[in-house]
Amino acid sequence: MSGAQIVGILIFVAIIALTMYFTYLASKRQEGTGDFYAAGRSLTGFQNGLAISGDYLSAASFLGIAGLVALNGYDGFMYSVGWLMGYLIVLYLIAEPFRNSGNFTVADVISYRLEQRPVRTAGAIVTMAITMFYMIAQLVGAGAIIQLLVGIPYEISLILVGILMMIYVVAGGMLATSWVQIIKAIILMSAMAVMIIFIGLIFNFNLSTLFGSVMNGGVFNGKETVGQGIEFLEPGRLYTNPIDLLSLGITLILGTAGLSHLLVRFFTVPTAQAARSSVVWGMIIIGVFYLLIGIIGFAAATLVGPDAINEAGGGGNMAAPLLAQVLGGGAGTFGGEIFMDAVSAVAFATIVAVVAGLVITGAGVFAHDIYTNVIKRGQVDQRKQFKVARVAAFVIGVVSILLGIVMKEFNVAQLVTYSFAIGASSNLPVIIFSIYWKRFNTAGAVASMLVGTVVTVVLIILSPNVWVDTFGMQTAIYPLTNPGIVSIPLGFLAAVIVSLLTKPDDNDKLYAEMSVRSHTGLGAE
Amino acid sequence: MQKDNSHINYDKIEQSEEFQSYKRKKYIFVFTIPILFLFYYLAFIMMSAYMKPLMTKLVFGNFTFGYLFGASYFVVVWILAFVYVGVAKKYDKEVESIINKYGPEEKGA
Repeated sequence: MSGAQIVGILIFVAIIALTMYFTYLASKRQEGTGDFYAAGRSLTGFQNGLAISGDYLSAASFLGIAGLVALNGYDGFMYSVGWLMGYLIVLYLIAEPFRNSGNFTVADVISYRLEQRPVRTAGAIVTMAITMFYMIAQLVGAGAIIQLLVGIPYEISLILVGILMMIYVVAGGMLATSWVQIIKAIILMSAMAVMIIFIGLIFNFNLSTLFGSVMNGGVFNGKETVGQGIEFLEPGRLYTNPIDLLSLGITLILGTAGLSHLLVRFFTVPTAQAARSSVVWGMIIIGVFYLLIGIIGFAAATLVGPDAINEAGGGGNMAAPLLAQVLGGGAGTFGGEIFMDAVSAVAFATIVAVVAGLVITGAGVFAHDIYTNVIKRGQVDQRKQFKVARVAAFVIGVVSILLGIVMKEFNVAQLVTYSFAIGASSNLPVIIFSIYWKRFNTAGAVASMLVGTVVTVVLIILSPNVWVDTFGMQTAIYPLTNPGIVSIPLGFLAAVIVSLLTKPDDNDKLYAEMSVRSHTGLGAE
Repeated sequence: MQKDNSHINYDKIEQSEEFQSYKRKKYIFVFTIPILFLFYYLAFIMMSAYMKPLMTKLVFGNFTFGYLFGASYFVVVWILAFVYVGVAKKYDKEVESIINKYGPEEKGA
């Protein structure tokens, strides 16, 4: 083992030790289910803003977008734009009323004035589907990263990630998870800043020079770069079908507001005002990140080049670590290896933090919605609910590791987009209508969630990525990579049509309660 | 765990004129801006999909129109975030006066 590799592993161990320490502190503070699911509502707006960034800037953003930009240019950049824009909908329509009307899970909000059992059951299915796709994406990234970093096999890497995140979640709950996400957001932003400075030194801190290098190549401060012509700046290199690009764009902007694991972050702050400021902080941090990741992708395109990126594994996911290697002095040099290992360690921390947030969301759905409210009809003591949550966390971890092993070759940003599609077509309509539309009823909610989820999953299976690439069929039945353009309108339509065709729920009293509570915070927990 | 809210008269607040007018104003604001923004964003997507030559046109330096136009969305969305915060502060005051008038005893009536 080389000296640089040992330094890399030390960085890696240091990050894990730091997060473990916070988990230990959190585990001592944790008493009831309110602490486990919602960090005792103790975070400030700024802290939660950092945690939102830590939760959102996943492997998909760091490894995935860097890779997509490095290989495809403009289409990767569109991910950056779309993923930030989604927060506008979260801020204007969702964050505050959502915070005011729920306790622990998305289903608390959507079942507030509807029938508990059917809505909570359907809501649980939706959240599980979203978190699963999201989690698989993270694990695929993690496996590849550890393989690159320490050279252990992909499968064993996945199991390692699984054990780590289980410790955070089971021992520390939401408080530990939040702090892991906060620390990770800070480390990630710092690592990006260092990379940007190194890139700046090569291209004289002139973005236009970097763009020029991507087009024409050349020698910049002693580094030879790859030019790929102006075609590289063209849209449509990844999504050759314009409708597919449209479908992607809609999915990206509407999906954010439907991600269960992101929405439950609003329960960790004490008030709607804190929820509001946490979204704004999140938008600032995430926005800066998405601008910088584009620069990193461009630098990787020209400094590393498409051949080397493709060679390092599926989907371009290794573009950012490979760029760090070049920036540090190149392959085989001490500086190059250390920089690459450091960036890989950061990517790994990123993944573990996101996975912990996903698992706690999934466990909450099982223990709070399904077990406590659907099966036991609310008659469960906290101790028992806690135990179920921990078992659920374990099961979710194991299942997603197995799925992660199967789906090794996908680009992680594209995988995550499936979660956004489910969120936009089944969570988003139900959340918006349950807050803002009086006539919305139980049948409409269940129909929308089932139609949204089933249509999305079926279209993913019939899409070229799965039907052709994974199952080996001749032509795809659904021609687009992104299901959103079909599934999102269907999810919204199902909610409206089924609500109007069925009788209204007899719930005027609950409606008044939710309306006042969600828009004033009166009586919110 | 469930908080006892039986001392709050939700029906009275929901039916009050102040609350209804606050809700009406808020609904118009929180729906109009995201819907307009959605169309504005779709313009970017549609142009990326169907107007390749325009998006690939060099505007200044080595920047193409597409990248500059895309980057402008970051600025717009940040401005809209601060617009929201400003308006929401006004709503906070309105909510406070509604709670003062109709809310539970301990919040001061």
